[in-house]
Amino acid sequence: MIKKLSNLARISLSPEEESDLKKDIEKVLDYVNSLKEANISSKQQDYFQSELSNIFRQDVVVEFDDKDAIIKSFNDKEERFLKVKAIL
Amino acid sequence: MTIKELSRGLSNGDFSSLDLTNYFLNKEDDVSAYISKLKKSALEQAKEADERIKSGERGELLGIPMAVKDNIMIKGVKCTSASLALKDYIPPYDATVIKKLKEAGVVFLGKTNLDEFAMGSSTESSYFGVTLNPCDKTRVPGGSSGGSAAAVASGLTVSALGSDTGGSIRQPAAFCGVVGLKPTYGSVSRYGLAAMASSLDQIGVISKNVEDAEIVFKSIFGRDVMDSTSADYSFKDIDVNKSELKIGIPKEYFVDGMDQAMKEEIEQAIKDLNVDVVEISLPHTKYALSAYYIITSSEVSSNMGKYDGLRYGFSDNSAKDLIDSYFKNRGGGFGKEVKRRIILGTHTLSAGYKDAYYQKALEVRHLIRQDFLDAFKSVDLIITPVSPSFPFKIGEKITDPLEMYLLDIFTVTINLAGLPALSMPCSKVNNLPVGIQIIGKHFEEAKILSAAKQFEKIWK
Repeated sequence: MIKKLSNLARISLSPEEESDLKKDIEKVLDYVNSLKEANISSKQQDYFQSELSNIFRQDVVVEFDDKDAIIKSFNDKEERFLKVKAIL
Repeated sequence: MTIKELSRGLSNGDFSSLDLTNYFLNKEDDVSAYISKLKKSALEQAKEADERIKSGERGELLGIPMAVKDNIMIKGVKCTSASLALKDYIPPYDATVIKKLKEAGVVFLGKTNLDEFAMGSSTESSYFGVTLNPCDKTRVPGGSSGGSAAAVASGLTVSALGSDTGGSIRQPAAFCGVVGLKPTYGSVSRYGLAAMASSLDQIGVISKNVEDAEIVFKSIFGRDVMDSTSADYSFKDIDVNKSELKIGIPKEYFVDGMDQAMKEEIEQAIKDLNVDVVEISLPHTKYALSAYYIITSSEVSSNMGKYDGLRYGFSDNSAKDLIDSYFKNRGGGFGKEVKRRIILGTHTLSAGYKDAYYQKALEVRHLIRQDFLDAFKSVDLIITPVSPSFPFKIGEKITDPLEMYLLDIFTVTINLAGLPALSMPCSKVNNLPVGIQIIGKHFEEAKILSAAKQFEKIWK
C-alpha cells in the first residue's frame, strides 16, 4: 500500500521509511475508522451543500512587479527559462 | 512591557523604536525561538518608524517590534517553514498581514521556529532543531507556533504572529503561559501563509496579554482580493457586562484521560469568574480528531504537491529525468511527519477510499459545526481547557504520532467549525502554566476579547 501511495505522491522512500510509515498509518487509520459510526441524515447533507457559494472577481490581468526574484529562485535555468530534466 | 505601554513610551519620547529594536535584537535567545534574526532590516524599519513618530504620526503599532512565524512570507527574507525543502527559499512578495503591519509601522525582529510546515504540536519536528519552553527548558513549548510563543514568553519580543490549523497558536500559548488568538476562519487573509490545510488555516497573534492581542488583530483582519476565503468583516468594539454573560461548559471536554491537576485548575478558574455557567453538550466531539486528521492530511497532500524543487526549494541533481526529480526532490526535502501526512492524505483522497474517509469527514465536520451553532443559541461564550496535559518533556511523545495527535483533542473542533478562540493563562501548577480556552461565535472576536480582558484581571 505504501509503495502505491508514495508513487502517487511522487515521494521517494527508503525501505526503512516505508516500513515505519506502514506502522504509523495503519495505527492512525485504525483510530479514524471510528468515523464510520457517525450518522449523517440525507437532509443534513443537502443543507451542507447549499451553504457554500463561490466568490468571484474581475478577470483582469495584472503584471507581477518582480519577475527577477522568481527567476532567481529557479534551481536550474537558461536565460529567463526554467530548465528541467528530460521529460520523455 | 506590553504593546500599549511601549506605544505610550514611544509617543512620549521616553525611548525610540531604535532603542527597543536594539534591546530585543541583543537579548540572548537561550530557548532557540528564532530561526533567523533580521538585524539589518529591523534597524532600518525602526529608524523609519522613529522618523514617522518625530513627524507627529501616532499609531498603536508604530515602531513596535514583532516576531513572525517562519511560514509567513516577508518579501526578500528567507522563509523556510522549518524545512530542508525550503531552507534557502526567498519569497518575492509580502503576505497581506505583513503588508498591513508594515503600513502600521511594525519592526520585524525575526522569523520564529515551528514544526516543519506547521505539522506538529511540539516544535520538535523543525529541521532547525527544537525550541525550549521558557517556563521549563527541559520541556517543549508546544506547537506548531512554538518559536513565537517562546519568544513572547521569554521577552525576546513583545508580540508575534503565528498560524493555527488545529491548535497551533492556542496550544503553544498555553504551554508557554501567554495569550494566543485564533480568529474566525476568513477574518484574516491567508495570502502569504504557506498553506497547510486551506479550509482550516488562520493567521493569528501571540502576545503577553489580551489587550495586545486585540491591538494586533485589529491591524490584520479584513477582506483581501488575494484570498477568496477572506470575509468582509468589520470589527466593532463592545463592552461585555460580565454579570450578563452566559458561559457554556461542554461536558465532552472534561473527560477522564486528561491530567487531573489540569482539570481541577480549569474548574477552579471557571468558579473564580463568578459568572452564569451552564453545562452544554457538543455530542459529535468524539469524532473531531478523526475528522480533523482526515481533512488535514487530505488537504496537506494537495497543498504539498506544489513543492517540486524545480522553481524553488531543495533539489537533488542526481535525478535521471523529470519524474525522478519529483521523487528525489520531495523525498529528500521533506521530514518524517510531513511525509506521514502526505501519504495518509494521498490514501484518504484516493479512488475507492475518498467517500469513506474524506467525504465522511466533511459530513462529520458539518455536524460538529452544527453542535456549536446550536449551543450558541443559549450561551454567549464557551470555555474549555486547551490541552489535556501540561507541557511534556522534550522527546517524550515524538516517537508516537497517534499519541501526539491526541493532544489536539480540545483545539481541533474550533478549526473544524471555523470559530474564533482565545487561549490564555489562568493559573500555574509547579511553575507550569495552565491555559484556558474562550470560544465565541463566528466573527465575535470583540465579545471574546472584552470578556477575556475582564477574566484576565480575575485570574492574575
